[in-house]
Amino acid sequence: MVEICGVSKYYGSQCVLDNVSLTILPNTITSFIGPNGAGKSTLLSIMSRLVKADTGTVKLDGKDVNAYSTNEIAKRIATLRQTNHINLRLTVEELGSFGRFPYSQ
Amino acid sequence: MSTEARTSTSSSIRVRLGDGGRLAILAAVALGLAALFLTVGASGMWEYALPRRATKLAAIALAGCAVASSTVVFQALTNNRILSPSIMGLDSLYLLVQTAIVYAFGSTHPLVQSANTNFALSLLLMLVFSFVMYRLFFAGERGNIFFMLLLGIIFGTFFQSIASFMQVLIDPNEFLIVQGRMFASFNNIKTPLLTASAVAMLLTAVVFWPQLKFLDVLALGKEHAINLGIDYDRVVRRLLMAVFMLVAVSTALVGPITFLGLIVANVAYELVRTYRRLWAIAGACLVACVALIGGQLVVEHVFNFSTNISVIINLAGGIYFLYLIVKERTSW
Repeated sequence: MVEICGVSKYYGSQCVLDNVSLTILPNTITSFIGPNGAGKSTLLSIMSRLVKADTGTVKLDGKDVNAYSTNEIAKRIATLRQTNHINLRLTVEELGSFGRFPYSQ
Repeated sequence: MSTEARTSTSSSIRVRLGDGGRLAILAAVALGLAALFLTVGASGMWEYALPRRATKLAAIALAGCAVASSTVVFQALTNNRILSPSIMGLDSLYLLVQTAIVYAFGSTHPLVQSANTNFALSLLLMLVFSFVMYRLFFAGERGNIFFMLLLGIIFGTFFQSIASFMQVLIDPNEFLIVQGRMFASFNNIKTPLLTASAVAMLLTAVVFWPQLKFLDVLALGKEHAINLGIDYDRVVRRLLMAVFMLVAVSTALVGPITFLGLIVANVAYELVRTYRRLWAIAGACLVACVALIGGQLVVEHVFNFSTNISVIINLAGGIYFLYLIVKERTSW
């Protein structure tokens, strides 16, 4: 279960997320829908620790995501971005096996 | 697209089997060149020739490996294969230091003439500069590596401009001294400095070795690296420290040499076709040794020291680099 409590994010003086709170239940599919610039990606980025929130917390199973060790949380959360340009010569097998990195490192 | 994908898979399977072999061949070439370098034209004067050539060879190997590995690491951090650590302005700073001491004290001053003092001073200043750059951009929350690179370009240009300003003002004879320092040179390397540099590089390698396993994942890009559980900021910081250290030590030892990194790293990517960066580092080190030993042989025995190794490598490397740009452009 993911809980988002009072998350705000500003880029300069521009408010992108204003005090967002919601709970995402387990065993459900949740989608964020909104027009361009609504802050969907920002919220998702904060949830996956790619961006730091200015205020508020994101909790995974009752524990702040930033309190987990990065390796531990990598075993729980997987993200796939809209653009995935990878500048390496990789086979599909090699790319897939990167997914085991949190376990094998 | 589909045919391209198919050919690249089949060729990568064939090629990956050959990676070890290619490295072995490269190592053999490097060793052969080293043997040639030690023996050619010595005509019986072994006691004189061997120790001097061995020192030169050791300096070549050290500087080559430092530049090669720092460039491969740097390119993995920045996700860019046409950047080299010289963008951070360390070699411009080295030039400025050399110019400034000649400008201020004259070319006969111990700071210019004594290799030890000069080495210590250049190294110290480069490390201080690295530390300042590092603090500036990683102290706050917004550690952004490209911001730091931009700063490096600005500082580098600034140092270079001041250096050329001073070079215009000094006596032409003094300028010749400065000019001698403007290019990497393996002649006249003092053994104690070589030992000190070797120890420093070895320590760097040992201290930062644990971070190297993250390189392959870092090369996927920041988002993927974080997604795969890497403490991105911390690992990047550590690896950058290693890059700074290697560049500073090798530059203080032989002079501005970072130009070499770009060439050897890219040749290594072509030769060792696996994505594994450790292999690329090994390959780049060997390519660097081959290029430097080969270049030095050409300088000594073909041109009789009438040119220097930077010119030769820049000529060969520049042509290769142009080829690379043209190739990258057509591959899109």
